[in-house]
Amino acid sequence: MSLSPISDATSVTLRQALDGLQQRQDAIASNVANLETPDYLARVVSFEDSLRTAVGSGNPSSFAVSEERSTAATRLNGNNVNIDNEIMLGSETLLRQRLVIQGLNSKYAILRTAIMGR
Amino acid sequence: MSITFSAFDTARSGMGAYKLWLDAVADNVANIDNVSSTDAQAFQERFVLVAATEDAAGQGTGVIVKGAAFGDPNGRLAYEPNHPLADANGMIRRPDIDLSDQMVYMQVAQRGYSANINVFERAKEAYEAALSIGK
Repeated sequence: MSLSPISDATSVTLRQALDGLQQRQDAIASNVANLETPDYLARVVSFEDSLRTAVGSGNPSSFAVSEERSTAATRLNGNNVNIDNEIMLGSETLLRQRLVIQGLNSKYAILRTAIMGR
Repeated sequence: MSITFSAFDTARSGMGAYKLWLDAVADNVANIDNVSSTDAQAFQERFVLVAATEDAAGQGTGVIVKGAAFGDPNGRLAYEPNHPLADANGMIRRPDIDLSDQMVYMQVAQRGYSANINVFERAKEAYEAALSIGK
């Protein structure tokens, strides 16, 4: 993604964050669907550190979302999905998504003002 | 990112699996008092087998029902000499199903189903918010 006045560092960063959050939401959906699946290990999505580094280096496009399996203790059926965690994390992720979208919308509102000149 | 609105499909797969489990429990409970003669098989408890699914990129896409497993066809022998199906020794066969097990399974399956609905509703909110970008 190249940077331009429309697609500048701020909006690229916000878009990447939205991508990462969406992937986290998908992982949560998968974890809840497999709440009782034997030997299923919860999926954990992380991207914040990578995004922070990418923004720090001045190139927010060079970021990666990583997905790992939880190392938490398993139950008798070999599954380690923690439902309370998943639901809480899901609600938090939703709020974060709303926050990022609000950021994007403010960004676009400023752009619109600049384009229309009023 | 995978297919648009993919969290819906994932939640739906979870709901489907838990509903099937509920169906199996209902069937087990409905047949819990079935009696058969000792030369026939007892009603077999039904278990639902599931496995996690993922897409080509290794991201989770939900759960799939692999099939069913069945309980012991020998059931439990009981001594009821007055039963019309009793054999010469007065024995009959009952299914080897524990009602308290079934009740626990029912609770777990019901809660699991609700949790997937919760995910579905949240995904809907998230997608709605995403659709408002630029408005």
